[in-house]
Amino acid sequence: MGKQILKLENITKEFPGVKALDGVTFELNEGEVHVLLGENGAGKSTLMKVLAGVHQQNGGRIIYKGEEVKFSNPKQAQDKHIAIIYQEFNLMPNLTVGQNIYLGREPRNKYGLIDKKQLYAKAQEMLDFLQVDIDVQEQVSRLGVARQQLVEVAKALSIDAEILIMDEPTASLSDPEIEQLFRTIKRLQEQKVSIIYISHRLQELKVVGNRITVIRDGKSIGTREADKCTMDELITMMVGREIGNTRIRSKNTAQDEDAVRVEHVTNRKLEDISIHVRKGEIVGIAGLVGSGRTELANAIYGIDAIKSGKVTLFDRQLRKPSPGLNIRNHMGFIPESRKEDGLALSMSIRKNTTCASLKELFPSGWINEKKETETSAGFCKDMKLNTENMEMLVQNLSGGNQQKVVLAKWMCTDSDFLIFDEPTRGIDVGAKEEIHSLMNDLAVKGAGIIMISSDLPEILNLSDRIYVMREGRIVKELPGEGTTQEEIIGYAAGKEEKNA
Amino acid sequence: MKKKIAIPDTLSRLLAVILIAVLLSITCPNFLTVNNILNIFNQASLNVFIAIGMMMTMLIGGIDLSVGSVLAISSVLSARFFFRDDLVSIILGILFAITIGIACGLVNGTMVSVFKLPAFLVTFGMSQICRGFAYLYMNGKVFNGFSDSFKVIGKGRLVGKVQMPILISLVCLVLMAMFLKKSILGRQIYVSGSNPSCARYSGININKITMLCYAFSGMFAALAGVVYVSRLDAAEATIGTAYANDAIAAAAIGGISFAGGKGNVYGTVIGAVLLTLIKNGMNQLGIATEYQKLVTGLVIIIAVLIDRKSAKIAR
Repeated sequence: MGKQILKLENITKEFPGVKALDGVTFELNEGEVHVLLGENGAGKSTLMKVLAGVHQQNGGRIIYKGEEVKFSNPKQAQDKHIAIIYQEFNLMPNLTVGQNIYLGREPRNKYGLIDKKQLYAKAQEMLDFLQVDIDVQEQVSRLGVARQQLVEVAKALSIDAEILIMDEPTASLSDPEIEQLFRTIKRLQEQKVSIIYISHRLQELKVVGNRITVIRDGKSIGTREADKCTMDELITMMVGREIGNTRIRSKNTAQDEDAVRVEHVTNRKLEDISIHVRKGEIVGIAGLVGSGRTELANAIYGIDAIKSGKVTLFDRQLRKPSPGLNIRNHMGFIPESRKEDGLALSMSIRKNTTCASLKELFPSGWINEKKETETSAGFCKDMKLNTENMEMLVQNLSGGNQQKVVLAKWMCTDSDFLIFDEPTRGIDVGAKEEIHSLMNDLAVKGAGIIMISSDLPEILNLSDRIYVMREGRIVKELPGEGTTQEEIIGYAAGKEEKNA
Repeated sequence: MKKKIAIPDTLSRLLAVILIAVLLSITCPNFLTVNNILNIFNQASLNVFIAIGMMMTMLIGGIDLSVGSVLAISSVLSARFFFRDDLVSIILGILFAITIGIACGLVNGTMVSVFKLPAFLVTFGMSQICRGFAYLYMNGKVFNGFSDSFKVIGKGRLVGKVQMPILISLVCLVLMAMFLKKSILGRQIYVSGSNPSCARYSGININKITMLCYAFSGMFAALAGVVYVSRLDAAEATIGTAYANDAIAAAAIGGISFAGGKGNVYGTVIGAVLLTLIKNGMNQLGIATEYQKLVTGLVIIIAVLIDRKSAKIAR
């Protein structure tokens, strides 16, 4: 193993209200692939953004090649040959491969104009070195994801990267493409390029990595040699989060009848999904980011089209499901991002609350404002919203109160089957408890509930059954009681080999 | 206090109109006569029709550049019905014109919603197509000599001296204001305009709403065409070329946001009246017409600027 090239010491980073990094230590040797492993929101990406000069740390030191450095912008990190490839590529889709590789650093001729010949020749060199067969004159938008990623790698090479950070590089690649990527990584290693590899796919880590560092809740938990550790060990390091409060759901109120049945549903993002939710049951859906949880909810709700399979809601199969039709059949959906999908921010609380149930409230087609105000005030009071002025614009409310308006809106529809997508994200503890008890109450009254959440304690404390998703599939069904966080993460990250 | 935020907005616009009116009545003696005031409203009425339709498309973040040409094609095609002095024929003609207008609007709406094309380009294309058809159909001719009963629509006076177009536009104003404020569809238009994604998750069929708004725009353009032809006793292919501009100007002055979801009928009507008021006043003062466009342009920009500033202060 080569000598140490980088050391991050006790890095802390605070954003208003959150401590994203809390004393992380990380080392990198020359020519090493060092995997950074952690759950959603553990702080992996933030740490890398500090290293790449996107964020500046509040405390701690970055020691690069023996001397302390401080990057106040990404350019400075680039000048020191540190390159980062984000999950969302940073390519200009309408430019060619060559133009992208040398974007902003185009070789000039004596008139100060771009020297195209030289640009393409140099770009070709990079691609030849990587042993990939991509036309330098091809427009980037015509390449597939895997090839676009290789263009990113070539771009990193062109700045003579000594440290290359790859954020979830295999997230959207197929198996042969992953193999090609791993070969490329090996080539880079031979050239003494050090790679920081961010991932939460356990399977591939031991194939590609030399060492693995686990971080959790902004703290570094430990570093292991890739060939000397077990997956169980890594999983334990990843979860270890306290299950603070005890189980919220005192008894399972599931009835025999199904509220919803999803059979063999397949579309662009989902593969042969079969699940069911009983009346009065809370079903948790766990999975890492990109596992297809929200996509499943969107398919059930009729936002995304289904290619094959069927969804049966209260024993009725809807021929052409749409949100409108589903709402009329008593389905509700509390979407993940309240600002983008849940609320019309520039409108009043009154108008937001009744927005999804106008037809039920006013069958004549004409709105009675007095009744509307009373109705919305009633539901907002149930949600313990701290204002009685229904004419207040939603954009002037705090995040927690906005979420209460979203909930009031869906309580107003009187739904018997509800999907909660990350219902408590970014919400204070008090409001969180209120939402949990609301969900429990709904189930006791006989509503079927799907809860999608990245918060494992929440899943474990509230669910009667749990489905774990990975790569657009349901990989495991677990009971709500007696399941551990380790089990869920194990399935979500792919500890077990896929069943045929 | 508890009532509405839209009211001070509309109120300030109304005050601006009154202010200009007061200034004009001081500076030119002929301004403050019943005849002149009625004249202003009568002139404004055509733009009121079209601007209300334009507003409907702008509420969902769109625009309709085809209104002038839709007006032309619907009026030349329906003109034949208006020669006979027969109520049934006239009503049929009006219905026919409105049907054409709605059909054009539905095509626009379908292109924008189902095929996700930019409203600006779709309606621009539609405007060329309709204008082209109108030219082909008329082949340089002008229809005139319509029946007396038909002329009542554009020239008739009811309740003393009030012209028919004023009354018709008043009826449209009241109906549309009620529709937007009180009906479920009206509410859904606002929700779709302010956050399409939220509308979708709330079960609102955005495609339907979009088509509805463009259909309204086409219908109002056709209605304006009928009134126009009746008033001038002439139908030809060239009418209404500048009407889309005037309607957009009225809507912009009236506080209709180009991003969608904000604005109301009152603002639009005030915008249309304000535009006419400026023209009328400048005519009375003997200011050359060349200056009118200049002033109109300034007024539009100032109105939008004030809107933006007050929105910032409110935040």
